[in-house]
Amino acid sequence: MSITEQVEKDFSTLESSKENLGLFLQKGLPTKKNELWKYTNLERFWQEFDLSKQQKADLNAIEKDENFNHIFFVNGAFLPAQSDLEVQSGATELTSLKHELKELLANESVFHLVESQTQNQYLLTLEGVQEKPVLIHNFYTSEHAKHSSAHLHVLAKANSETTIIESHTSEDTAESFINNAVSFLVENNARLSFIKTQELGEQSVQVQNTRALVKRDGQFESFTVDAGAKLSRNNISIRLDGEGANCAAHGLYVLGDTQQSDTNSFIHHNRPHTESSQLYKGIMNDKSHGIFTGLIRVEKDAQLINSDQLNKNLLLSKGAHAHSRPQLEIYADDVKCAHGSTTGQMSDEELFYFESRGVPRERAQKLLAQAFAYDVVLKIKNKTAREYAQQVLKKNFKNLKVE
Amino acid sequence: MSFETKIKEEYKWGFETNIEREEFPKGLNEDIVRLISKKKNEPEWLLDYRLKAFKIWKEMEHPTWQYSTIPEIDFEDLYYYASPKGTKEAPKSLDELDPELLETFEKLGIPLQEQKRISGVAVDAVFDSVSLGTTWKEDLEKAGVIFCSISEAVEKHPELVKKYLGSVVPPTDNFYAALNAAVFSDGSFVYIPKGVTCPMDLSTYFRINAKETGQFERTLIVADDDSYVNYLEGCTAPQRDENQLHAAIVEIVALDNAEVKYSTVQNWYAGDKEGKGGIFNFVTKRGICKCVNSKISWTQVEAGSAITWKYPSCILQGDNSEGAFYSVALTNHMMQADTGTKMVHIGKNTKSTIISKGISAEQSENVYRGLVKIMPSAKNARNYSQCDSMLIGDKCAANTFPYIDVKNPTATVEHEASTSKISADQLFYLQSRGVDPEKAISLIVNGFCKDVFKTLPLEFSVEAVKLIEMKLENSVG
Repeated sequence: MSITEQVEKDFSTLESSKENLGLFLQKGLPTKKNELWKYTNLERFWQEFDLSKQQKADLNAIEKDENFNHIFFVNGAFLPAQSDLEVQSGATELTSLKHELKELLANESVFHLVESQTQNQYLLTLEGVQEKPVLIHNFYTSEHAKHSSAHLHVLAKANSETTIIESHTSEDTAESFINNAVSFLVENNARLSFIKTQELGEQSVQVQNTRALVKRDGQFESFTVDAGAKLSRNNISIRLDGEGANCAAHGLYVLGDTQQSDTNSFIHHNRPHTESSQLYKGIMNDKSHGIFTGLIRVEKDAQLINSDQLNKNLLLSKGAHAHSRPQLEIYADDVKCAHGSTTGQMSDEELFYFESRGVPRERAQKLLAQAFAYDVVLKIKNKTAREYAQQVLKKNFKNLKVE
Repeated sequence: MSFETKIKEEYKWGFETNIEREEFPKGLNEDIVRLISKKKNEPEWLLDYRLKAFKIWKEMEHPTWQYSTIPEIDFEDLYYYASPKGTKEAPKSLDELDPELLETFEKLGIPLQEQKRISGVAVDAVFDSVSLGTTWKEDLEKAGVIFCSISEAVEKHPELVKKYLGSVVPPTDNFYAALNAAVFSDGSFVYIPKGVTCPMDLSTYFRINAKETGQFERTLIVADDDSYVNYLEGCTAPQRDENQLHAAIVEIVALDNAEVKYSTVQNWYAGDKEGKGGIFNFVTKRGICKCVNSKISWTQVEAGSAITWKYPSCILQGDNSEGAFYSVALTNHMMQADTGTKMVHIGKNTKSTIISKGISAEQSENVYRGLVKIMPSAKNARNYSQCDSMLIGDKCAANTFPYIDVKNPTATVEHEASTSKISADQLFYLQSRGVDPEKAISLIVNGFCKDVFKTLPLEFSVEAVKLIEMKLENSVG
């Protein structure tokens, strides 16, 4: 059975939106012929999943950290009883928000697949200055769900300020195909920080579609940590749509075994006086692959732009691969845009420095890898959120073994 | 700040030479391929090579990946062979050539006679499709260097041509490589024997003269063990309203310890302000560092052509081999340039350097597209890339699309790029000291390109600076 046939069959049992499903079927799953999917063959992972088995499950014991406001999702479904904040589904604001963001990721067929499922569409509205970061738990179980899909919309009202952490964890044995979307509308002068940490089981696959539209003087920060899953793909599309808007998109992927992480970011400077900055770092061990594609586009009349982008990769073993494609498309002349990319191994001199001071090589390597990574984490402004991300990394560095 | 146009400089090399010429009927089919081959008295194996390439080409589709928008090319509406009449028998010396032809070259600024005496650069001039004459032949022969048209090489040194033709760019490589392999008319052939440092710089000058003609020349440079050669190439074409096609192939083979430097100043007619006419310049250039310690360097100044696709590449196969790419691409009017390089590291300790400077003015589009690939076998490979773009005017575009694939952990790869406009501070500084705006811009642009210009041979370096100045004269507003 072809993939399109499979989707048609599996989705017939679900409540889905015909228009988006049509768009997906028309484009099909992305193939290697699509430049943005050149290094990731989604089809290979796709066939292992059965879409019809999308079921809800409940969480039992939950420990809540008091420093956060918590929201819980299991297999893409909202758990109202355990959550501190309310998310709405089916609100009229949801429709208008969708309409405003409709041009973002419009060419990504996997995004249309998320959109085609109407039951897991949520809206979170943020007002005023939130002292505590919002911690969104996404948990995936092994038994019930083979395929999970949810779309969370966040409306950051004018002058609001919030930090959101979205954590993705699963049971070790889970074989979920997670195809998620998060859409942000950052209104005038609002500040929003979004941190995604992904520590899924090694049999899981995650495709995360992140979209953000930033209005006048708005600030948006996106930070991604990918440590788990056999394949994680991040589609990030940010449009700076008002003067004075700025955004930062940072990320870190720490990979081992045969893991693969593929980040595709697109920053669109649509108005003058906008700024963006990006820093993506990858640490690849064993036979893992790290892929980064970042495009900065400056529109014709968007003058006085500042934009920079940097991708750094650290290869730790023979079979590890890094692919990097930093790209610029500039149609205005009064701009300052720069990008850079480096790939290499740990410097012998730095290791020698440690060893000559009695630090064993293995420990020195670990320290250097951590230092390489923490540099990115320090970009997170909110202290509680930064500490959370550091904890996640610490856990993952424990098992790091350099060849 | 506004800089008024001072002079409207038109394309200086837009003249046409009225020479009777011989050409084949329009269109492309097997018969034309056979006819070209017969015309040139080619051996059986070369005809087979052409026919095979033609078959491959027929099955290929025109590429669609490109960034630039190109009007559809009707391959049936082109002449595939044109030669100045009277060159049926190869001229024995330059004196036998049509005086009008020689005058053309004089106008172009390559007085073959003069150059012979003064500069000591050996020139092979290709006019439309036929190679006209090579200067300094005897001196080169003494050193053992073979420098002649490719047709002559097929006749006199078939074993060398047969061994290396298509070994770097096979007909299957891409659409235009296949087309060129089927219909290539002439070009230059260079062979530097073992241990020889070529006594003078070699140079080819290309010119498209005839109407509705495609020019398909082919250059093959083989540098044997421990040899060295510096090769220069220049191009112009008359000014016409319709587009003309130029699809060339350049192949370089560098063996043990050999070094080849290849420099180009490309100034094909670029079309007028509205984008009418101009040359489509679709060229495949590739060199292979086949053996240990070999070096290939590409230097190019791209200032012409309506549309350029050109990616001079290096395959670094031998251990310790080095590749370099230095480029200045200047676009104005409605020009579209999509150029860059590929560096494929296969051998151990291979090194590559990429310096690319793009300047876009008016409504032009300038794209850098490059690939740096480190194969798992390339231990300790090293690459450094730098691509800077400068924008002049708010209707132009500058894009950068680098691909970096690293499959060996011991490799070190660095890439950096920046895009900006001419800094107002620098302009103000110069103007406040009495330098007029045009001069100031030209100074700043030349400074921006300095890293590349300094790698050019002296005579080209002077030409390049002038060319950039002239091109920018009516672009600054």
